[in-house]
Amino acid sequence: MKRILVIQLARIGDIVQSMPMLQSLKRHMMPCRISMLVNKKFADICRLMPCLDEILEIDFNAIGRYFFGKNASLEHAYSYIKHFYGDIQKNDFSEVINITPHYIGIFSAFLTKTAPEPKRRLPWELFFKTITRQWNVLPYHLSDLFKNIAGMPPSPEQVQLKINENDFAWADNFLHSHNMAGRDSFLVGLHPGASTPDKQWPLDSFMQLGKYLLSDKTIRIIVVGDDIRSDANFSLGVRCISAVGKTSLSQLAALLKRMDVFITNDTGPMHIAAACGTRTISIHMGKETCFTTGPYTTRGFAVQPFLDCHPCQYPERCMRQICKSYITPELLYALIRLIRDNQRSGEHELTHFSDRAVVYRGGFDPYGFFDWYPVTRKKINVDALVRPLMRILWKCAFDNMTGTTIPCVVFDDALHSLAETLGQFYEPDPDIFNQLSTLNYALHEIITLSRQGINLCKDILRYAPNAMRNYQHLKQRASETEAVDRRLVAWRERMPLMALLIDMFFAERQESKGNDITQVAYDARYAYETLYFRARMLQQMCSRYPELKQTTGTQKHSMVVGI
Amino acid sequence: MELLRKLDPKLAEFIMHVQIPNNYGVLISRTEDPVLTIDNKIMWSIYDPHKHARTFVERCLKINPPVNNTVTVVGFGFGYHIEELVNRGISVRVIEPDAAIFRLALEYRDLRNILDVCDLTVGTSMTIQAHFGNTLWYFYPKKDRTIPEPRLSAAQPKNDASGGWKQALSPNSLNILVVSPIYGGSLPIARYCNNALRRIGHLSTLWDASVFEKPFRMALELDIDRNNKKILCDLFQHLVSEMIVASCAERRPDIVLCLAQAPLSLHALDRLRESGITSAFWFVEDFRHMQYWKQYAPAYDFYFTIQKGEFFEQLKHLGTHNYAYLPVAAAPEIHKPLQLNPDERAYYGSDLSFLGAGYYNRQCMFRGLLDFDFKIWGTEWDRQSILWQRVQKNGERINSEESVKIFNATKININLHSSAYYEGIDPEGDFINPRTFEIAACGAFQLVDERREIDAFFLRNKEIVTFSSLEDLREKAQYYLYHPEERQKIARAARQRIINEHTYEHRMRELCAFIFDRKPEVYAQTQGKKLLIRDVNSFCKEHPETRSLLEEVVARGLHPDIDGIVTTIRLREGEMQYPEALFMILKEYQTLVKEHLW
Repeated sequence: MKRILVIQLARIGDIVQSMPMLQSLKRHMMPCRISMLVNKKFADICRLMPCLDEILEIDFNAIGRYFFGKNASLEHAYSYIKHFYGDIQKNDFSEVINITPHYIGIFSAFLTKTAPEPKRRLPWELFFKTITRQWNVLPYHLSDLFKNIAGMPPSPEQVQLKINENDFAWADNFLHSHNMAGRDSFLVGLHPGASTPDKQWPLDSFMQLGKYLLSDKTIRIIVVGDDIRSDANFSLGVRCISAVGKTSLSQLAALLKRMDVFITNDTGPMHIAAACGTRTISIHMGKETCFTTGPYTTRGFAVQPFLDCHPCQYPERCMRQICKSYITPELLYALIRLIRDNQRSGEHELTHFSDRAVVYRGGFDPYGFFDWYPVTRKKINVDALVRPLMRILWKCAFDNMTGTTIPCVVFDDALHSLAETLGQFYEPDPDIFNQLSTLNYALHEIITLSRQGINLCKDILRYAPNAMRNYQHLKQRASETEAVDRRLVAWRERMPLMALLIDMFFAERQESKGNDITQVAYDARYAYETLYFRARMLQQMCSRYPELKQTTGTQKHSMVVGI
Repeated sequence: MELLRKLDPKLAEFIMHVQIPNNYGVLISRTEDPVLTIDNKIMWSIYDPHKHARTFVERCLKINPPVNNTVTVVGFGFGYHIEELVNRGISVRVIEPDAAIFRLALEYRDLRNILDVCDLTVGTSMTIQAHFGNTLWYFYPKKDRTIPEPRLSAAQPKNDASGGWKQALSPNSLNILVVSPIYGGSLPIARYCNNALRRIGHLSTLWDASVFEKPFRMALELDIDRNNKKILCDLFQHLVSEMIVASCAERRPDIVLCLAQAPLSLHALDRLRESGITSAFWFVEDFRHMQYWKQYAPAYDFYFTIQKGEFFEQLKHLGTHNYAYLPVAAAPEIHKPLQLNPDERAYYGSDLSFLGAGYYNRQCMFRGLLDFDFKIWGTEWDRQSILWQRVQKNGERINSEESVKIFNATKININLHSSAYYEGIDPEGDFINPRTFEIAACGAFQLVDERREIDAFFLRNKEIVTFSSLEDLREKAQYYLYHPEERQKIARAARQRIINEHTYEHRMRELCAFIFDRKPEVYAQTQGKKLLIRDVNSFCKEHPETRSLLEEVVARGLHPDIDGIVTTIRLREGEMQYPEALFMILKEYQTLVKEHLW
């Protein structure tokens, strides 16, 4: 039996988003035993995950005490860490998968490994390391990224937390004791808290939404979370109760399971609700975007501000915070009514708000990657077009392991499917051609630069055997290579869509293990070639958009994935 | 003193040259023992000093018992409490920041029983370092200077895991960001503070806002509506303020020290506080002339002033908690005696000179000095005035380098504190300006106007000479022009006083001591970063895999703490080794836990 260790030392949200990967692993690697290394503080949520066989807990608080406590001691800290990872290593895991977006994950993987890394995962690990610096350019949902890292193929996964009877009994008793369990009642959960202020929809807006909801006599509200402030301020009458700070994680999951709709900021409870199968309405502001960290469920709606600056690059520093006012209580109320009455016609009502906020619904693209699609038809833009193309590009580039080519059949198939999908949710927009033209120009420049880089590296390789004699030539080529790199960096800044492409190039360059000039030049040439082919692929895909246009907008407006 | 000469000749030599300030005195108690007084305040029991010592020691033993039968005491005083501790067989380490008190104690008491058994440090503000040692008792009746009221208390040791205070004295104790104003008189002080902090072992960085002077002045000089100009300037300040906050977010300093008029907004201060960064402000200006401090003082965690009394009342009324008196000083590495060549001496020299801005009182008073060989240097002098003929360099701004040459070349430097209201000397004048310290540090002679605080810093007529009116100034100028030996003697004594007590290093030590006293967690956090492997050999025996790495750390001259080890690992080449990864992950955990990112 294979023994697999998954290292997930992030917070609750990321842990729950690992579930599709764990489920996929369990299915494809059968028989296998999966262990997960987590922060002890969040171990409770792992106990609800049916795919996990073992939970390994590391106590961050204990480590904190070794550094900052009364009896702080570097010696003790070292001994603790040494013995902890030493014990894990004794398990002799056949595979270690790191999905922690932090160096702690990389070092943990190093310290727990006994066997060498399977080759196919290495590019994804590098991709993961690179993307953690700029989540907003990630073309995948985080759950799909985890699956990619684990080497799993994309596939629609429906995940479900395993909640025990006692917790359900507690939830039912709680609802019953507060007169919330009526047969006709429609239970709405609200989670006004968030880990950082930039993620937090204003409390006043939550209050206003609560008032709208309670104007309907059948609606009951339960406020959840662990932020006491939201509890103290949330008093809207007897049909609104608070469970803030009263639940364990498993009880919270049971309570969420009983709700009809759960309205929340982008938080851990949002992911728990999604994994319980509860219908969610998530609000994504600041740096958060549903495309990367939205709830992984087809029963989810996500609301995002319609702003050029979203997702925000500097949420802690933003003085305007207008994204919060772009999402109104009226919009969410209209959405809840739409869900409750299941009226398709209600979608028109949402269009009133479409100039300020967009409502998305979760679904899977034809390849099985999770994505979000606008509920009301929206004009296509270059982001919506390039994101799915990038997903195909990276998947083909890494998993085909040719590194430089994508088979034509995949290419055409991808474009065709993309056209169909986009046609269902987006309206054609003549401005897309201007946007594509700008993108095409950027790609053309990147291609030219990478060609120059390849030629320079070839020259270096030619001169390298007689380095002393050709010192001046080598020096000149090296400085020209630096100039090429500087121009690539400039393009990264000018065209954020290209940031990941260029960052991956530099990440791969840094991976060079060579000590001598020949090896360094060889590795650099390989990195330039890879960049060249990736940029060309993307350019070709984008240049086929006129063909897509023929199909875009001709389809009937229907959801790919229904409720 | 003879015993001290045998035990520590250097200390004895130092104590011999310490001057006793005029406000220090000695009273005889009922038991006929001497008792120290400062500003007529009695610092120890006047009834029975020995009984007081017994109760003090008993109380301290109860609150804070010694570790390994050793205590560190800050404040020697007249040594009654030290004597009591020695009699009880407890090992004592004593730190007396004020050398003058120790000299008085030596003069009035027989300390033979104490001196040869306790470990003594005199003359520097060592409170911070002391807290990293063993059990600490704090007895520090330091006049009315940095700590507003005399203190007598026992304090808990904040961290005793570092293996002794000497290790805790390792470089880079605190990470400090010094923020300068865009322009103005406090700009050079920011630089001096930064240099001083570095010299006393902190990792200090200057955030030099003066690079924005040109664009800011452009905004000020725009020919636009006054209100619009104000909005523009506020926006400019906001931009600079945001840049400072961004720097803080990156560098994560322990303390941000802002000098007067530093462009940090209230909003930025709130955010610094939210990020757990301690903010301090040194208001090196006259509180009566400026009003912005009212808005800003409560927003800072620490507020240092060059005035006290009425100013302290107002600060208290505004809700400022941690305020303290911290006078300005000199930077002896800049302000020093120079050998000038004849050309420089001719250009910068004169019988009398004044360097400073053309305030109203100076314009009035200096008219009465026109019959002297008198030069005026500095800005903002009235071109229409009769004084203009004496203004040098066309009234341009004088930089620090030139000012030192002027001080050195002038026989008598006139130092008249500014006033916008009075025609001569400001009768309310209390604080001492930086120029007083700078001229003295240059070993130059000065005549300074009468100030209320002057006696706390210099001995009158031995280290400094004051004047109380134009007539007095003229008379003294005449006298000292014809008595160069006296001038030189006074100037030498003043310089020695500066070196001993009034440098920016002294001030920064006092500032850090005050912050530590009120908010020791600032240091505790830093200590967390500095956890050391105390005994490398025994650690390597227990964990042999770390031996080569730790030997390399020591060989590189780095401390065997987490930062030293990680630095060494980064400098190493080749594949990462298992123990290296263990230390690297420890460093990552430390960062995560500290920032509560998990």
